[in-house]
Amino acid sequence: MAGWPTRITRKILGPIIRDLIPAPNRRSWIPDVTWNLAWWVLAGLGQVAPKAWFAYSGAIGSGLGGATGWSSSQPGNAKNGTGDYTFTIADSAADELGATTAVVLQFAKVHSIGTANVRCVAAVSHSGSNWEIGVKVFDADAGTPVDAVIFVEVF
Amino acid sequence: MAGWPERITRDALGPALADVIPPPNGVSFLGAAVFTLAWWVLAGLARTSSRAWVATDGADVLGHGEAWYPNGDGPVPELTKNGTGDYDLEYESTAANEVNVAKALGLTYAKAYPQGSTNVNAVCSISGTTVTVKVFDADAGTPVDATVFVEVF
Repeated sequence: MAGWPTRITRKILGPIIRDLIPAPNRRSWIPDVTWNLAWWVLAGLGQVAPKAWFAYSGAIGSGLGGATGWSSSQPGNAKNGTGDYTFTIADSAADELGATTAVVLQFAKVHSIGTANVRCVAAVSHSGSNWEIGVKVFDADAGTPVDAVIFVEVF
Repeated sequence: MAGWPERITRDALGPALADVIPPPNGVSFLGAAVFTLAWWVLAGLARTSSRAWVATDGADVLGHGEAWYPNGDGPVPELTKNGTGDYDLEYESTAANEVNVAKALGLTYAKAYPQGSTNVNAVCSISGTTVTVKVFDADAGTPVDATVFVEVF
């Protein structure tokens, strides 16, 4: 196990650290208690952080930015119809050692950006060599599909 | 102060660092500036990130992760289905931090996100360590079962 696209654990960062000698001071030495705290917090973040995010404009059918934990590249996107979009992320990627590693995606969150009363849902599925994140956007008053700018996080 | 389930501050990682000697190079030596930056970023992330996530369809817990179980080996939150589109997800009351001291989870807010392709809405509330999720058909306004992804802060 290594890092992104895999979530790290505390164990992967090594055992509990022990000082060989007491740290003479905390300005020039990082004692074991600090390392153990930092690794705990870092691994905890690795358990809960989204693996990817991106923004997309349904009106113009274009990505507006995004990144994955392992790359700054944006996902592929396709507009299937009004308020109906599909985004693709490859199901393998290089980790910090350059080793090709399976990407596992499970869930997604989607928000609309703007001032209209809009509601969104998302679903993650696998197709071929990609993960697909399907997003549907609805006018929350009428219940009908509508285009919007959306912000998506993938777990 | 210690780490998860509590949020750390920058101060918990010690004072601003200072090199005893200048790092001879940046490949084999990490200077104070690197750790000053890293600790700043790490503490900032810990202030703003969610602390747990869980997904359920009302029948089963489909996945979960908790910052306070950084080995990914935490118990599954206990799911209770109260009715159609009405789910409770209960966490334990305390969890051990990195020095194995039990700490209250202190859950504050949760957000629920429906998974799927239909017009569904979900809301959350927290009481103690129980997150209640209610899911509605957004057109009819009636409760409906659906898969939801929940983030807990």
